[in-house]
Amino acid sequence: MTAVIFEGVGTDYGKDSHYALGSLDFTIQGGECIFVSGPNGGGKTTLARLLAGTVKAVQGKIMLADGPERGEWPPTLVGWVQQEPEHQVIAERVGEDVGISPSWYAGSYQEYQNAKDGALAALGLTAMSQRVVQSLSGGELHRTAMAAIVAQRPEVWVMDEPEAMMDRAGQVALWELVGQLKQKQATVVMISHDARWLAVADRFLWIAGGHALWLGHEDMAARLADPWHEFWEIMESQVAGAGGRDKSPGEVARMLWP
Amino acid sequence: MAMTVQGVTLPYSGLFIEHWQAPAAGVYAVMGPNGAGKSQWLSLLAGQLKVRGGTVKRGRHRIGLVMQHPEHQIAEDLVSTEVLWPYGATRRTAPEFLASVAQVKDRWALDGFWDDSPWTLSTGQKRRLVFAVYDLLNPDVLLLDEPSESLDGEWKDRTRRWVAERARDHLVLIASHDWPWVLSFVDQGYWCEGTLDNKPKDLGELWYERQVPPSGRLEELWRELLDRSAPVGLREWIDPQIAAGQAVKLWHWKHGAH
Repeated sequence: MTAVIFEGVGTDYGKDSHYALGSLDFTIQGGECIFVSGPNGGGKTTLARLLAGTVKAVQGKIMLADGPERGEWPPTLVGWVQQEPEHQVIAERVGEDVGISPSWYAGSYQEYQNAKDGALAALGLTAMSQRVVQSLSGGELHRTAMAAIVAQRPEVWVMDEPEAMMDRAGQVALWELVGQLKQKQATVVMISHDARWLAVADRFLWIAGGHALWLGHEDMAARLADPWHEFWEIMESQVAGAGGRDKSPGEVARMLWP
Repeated sequence: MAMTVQGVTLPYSGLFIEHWQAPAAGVYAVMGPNGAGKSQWLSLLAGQLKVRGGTVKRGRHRIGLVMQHPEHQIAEDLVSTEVLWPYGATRRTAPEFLASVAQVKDRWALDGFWDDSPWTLSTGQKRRLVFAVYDLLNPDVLLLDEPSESLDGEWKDRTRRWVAERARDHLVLIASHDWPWVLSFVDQGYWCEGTLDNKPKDLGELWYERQVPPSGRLEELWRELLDRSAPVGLREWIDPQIAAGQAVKLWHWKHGAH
């Protein structure tokens, strides 16, 4: 399990930019899933770039629990699913793109093939392996970008609005993938406006105006207008004994309409 | 003359449009799985996608397309230039034009980065910038491809209000996977998978017919209630307050209190 420590970290995009992030002082524990949200332009993607190493800290340092600073991390340690998949899908065909990372680390052709095929299958892309990437829809391209990160086998996952443009089948595959990552105790930083990640994450970070604030589950749910949370707030205020917030939707349906 | 599409098969997706005639005005959703041809259809209507067979008639309509990826439509080095480049110097000094620019700047909150490079903006801010460009261009037909993606809650609301206002006297087509957002203000939609129907259907019915599995717990609860023939509406789940009000009524019926 890989923990990441932010020690007085701050960054910006130069003196002409309004955008800056920090100071960040926290530790993301190994195996933790952090849900990051906040308004547009607040600095969420800058946090992703810091972790991915494409933006450097201008103050403080980012390091692993056992010491190495960001510049010394192995190249495959952080897997970054970017907000715009076009920024990271570079090969001509789907299978080729997903196979890029294994082609560097695999010790044998069989290992390369297994890593690539497994990643394609995980995102439901096996039948599309030979598709030219320019012919993909936005959702298909996003799944391709994600499969490439699966094939990379990173220890720290940074996912920036991974559900964007995905149909329900893609979202189910994504949901299962994140469940598997949690089982494997990967470290996950999930950036999204989607309140559904509340049910998955261990801790909640709100980033606005370049400042980061840790929130409890209830506060994050309230800020994101989580529909389930809001529904139960009203139900519990109007009906004495109408508990069910923690029940499954099926159980609640049977309770309301047997 | 109404826009029509006749006997067209789109590449890759294979979407077949036997006959489609554009409604005169209003807002309509275009829903369907990834890769079904939704974006291609919008590109076809906008004149960006050429096909070998069939006919596409656009009449004299001015058609605007806000693409899935805002970066595909940004080319200038300043936000202000991006908004104003289509207009000549004479027009730019006309009082009514200046009033329109002020309104657009205000609607999309561009004042804070009017003199910035668009490339420094977050993805959500870039999307707002492209909305602003088309807001000012004011096309007869507006095609929006995944417009709610990467927007935070506040901007989803503001975009919804803008689209609803435009749709009073313009045609707006929205391709999306964001069911709660489109259901919150769009009455009818087209299902896009293999073929495209000529007539739009009730969007709530399309959701119930097509959208499985559910994406959130409140949506899942509502589907369970509908499956049990509970007296609830197809769209109540998208507003937790309305959903809770309806659930309170069901609770009282079950417990004999009225």
